[in-house]
Amino acid sequence: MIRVVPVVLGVLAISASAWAQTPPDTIERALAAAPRQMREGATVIKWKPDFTYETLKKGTNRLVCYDRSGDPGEQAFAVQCTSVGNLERVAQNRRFEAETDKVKKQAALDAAEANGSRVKPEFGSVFYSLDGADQASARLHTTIAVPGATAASLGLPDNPKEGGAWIMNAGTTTAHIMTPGH
Amino acid sequence: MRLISCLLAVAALSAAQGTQTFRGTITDNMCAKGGHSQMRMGPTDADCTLACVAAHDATYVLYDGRDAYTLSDQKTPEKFAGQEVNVTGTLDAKTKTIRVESMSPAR
Repeated sequence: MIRVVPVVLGVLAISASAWAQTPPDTIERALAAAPRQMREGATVIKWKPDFTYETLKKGTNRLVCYDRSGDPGEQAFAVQCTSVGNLERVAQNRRFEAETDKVKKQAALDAAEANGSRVKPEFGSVFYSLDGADQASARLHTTIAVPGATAASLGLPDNPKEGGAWIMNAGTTTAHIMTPGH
Repeated sequence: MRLISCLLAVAALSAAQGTQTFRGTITDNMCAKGGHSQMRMGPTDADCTLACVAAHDATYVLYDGRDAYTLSDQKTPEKFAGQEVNVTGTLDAKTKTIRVESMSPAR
């Protein structure tokens, strides 16, 4: 009995250690949205239910990637990468998105925008989103954050009628450049 | 012969049990959760959804308020963009994809 207990504890410790390690697939999956030349140096995080995160892979550049698959409103395969400077903004987005009532959510977003508590993303930072039913069929959507930008300040239209790049949500913290096709 | 008939009956029953009706709004995968009102892609949710698909390579999804389901049929949803619909089909839970059999406006 005295011998059995340490053996069992040893096996349990090894199992727990193996379980605690992040499977390489989890990291690779999150990195799928990253540009190839930035992938190796990117940080990978995992969001927690309390809107904080744990770091799964510490990177060397300013890109951070995370898996959103299975989150409310997301498709079965949904990963995103952006600047580490946008993590506070993304955390705030996730707080708002936790509200499932569309009207209440929009009211909360409008209030935050009006009272100045909406966190701004880094001007010029990029969001790479890869979404789909699975990785093979997922489509990449790239936007550039330009908080506060307007048609007058940036020289781009604030609607898609002309068919080129344009500013969505112009004049707000959510303003971002959309590019046709992606 | 009886055995084959029984097997076919069981198979038919299993297939029928896999068919479900899903209720939700036809929107696009880029803005499934987002309010379209501030995006200025069109005056209505329908216009915004259509523009997202046409100009930005988005795909139609069914959003039930919590989950966004990929739809195997990407043609029929066009006429229901922005509307609440009933979709009948089978769900692949792993890919959150509904293999669409029919689609009609919700009443």
